[in-house]
Amino acid sequence: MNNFLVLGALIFAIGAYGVLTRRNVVFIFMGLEIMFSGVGITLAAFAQHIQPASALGQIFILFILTVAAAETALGLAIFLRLAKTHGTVQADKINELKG
Amino acid sequence: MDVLYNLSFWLLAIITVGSALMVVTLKNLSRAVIFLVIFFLGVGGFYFLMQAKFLALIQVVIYAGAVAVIFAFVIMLTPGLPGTKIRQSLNQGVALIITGLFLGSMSLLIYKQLAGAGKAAGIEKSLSLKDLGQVLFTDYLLPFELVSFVLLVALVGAVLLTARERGEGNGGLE
Repeated sequence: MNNFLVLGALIFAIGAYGVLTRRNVVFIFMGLEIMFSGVGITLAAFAQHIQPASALGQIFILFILTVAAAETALGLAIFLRLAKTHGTVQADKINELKG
Repeated sequence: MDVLYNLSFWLLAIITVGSALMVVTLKNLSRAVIFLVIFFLGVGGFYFLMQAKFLALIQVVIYAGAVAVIFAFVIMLTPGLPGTKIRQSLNQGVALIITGLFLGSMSLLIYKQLAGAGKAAGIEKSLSLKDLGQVLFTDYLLPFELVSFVLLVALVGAVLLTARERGEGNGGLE
């Protein structure tokens, strides 16, 4: 179980590194997906270790997966809109709320 | 059985961490998407190892399938994005320090606090899909419906954001 937990933390850290260093919005979303996966692995490890007979942990991960997928779809739609109206894909060049 | 378990764990760990590192360091977006798919498949393998078979299936179908296709579509739809080299941020040192601190403290915590908290999770009875569905549709029915509403909002929002505005050049389809 410890191996799984450390692996989840490692994957989360890699994703966070991607989110912090990338400028392109699509890459930032990929980093976010990697972070979500790290959290999912941690949650699955705890669920299997603490209460293997309960479905609670798996249901939590199911909800996280759904919300993450919706978030990605919506975020990428916003990105397409931004690329059309601003003509840039760099996160640090987009500095106004009203398009 | 135990040897096989450990072998598959380390193999999957190498694949997953390696492809995640490729995703956050590669400069080419199209290649990064391919490595993202490999990463998602590896995470699905971990769910399978942790006796969460339904989650492994969902991971492969939704993430390696749908989400990767969304990424590919967005990259193809944005002009000038596919295949180009993209500059990285300059503050990589700061990010490395932050994530290194996080990872170090987490590993220390896990190995110190949870030392001997259990053997390497062995092969136990896995939950069947029936158990999962029974809990999901009785105790967690309200969150389930809320999540379906969130999906509906995301769907409508995505269509609203990307649809052409009225009178804004309808591609010659009058």
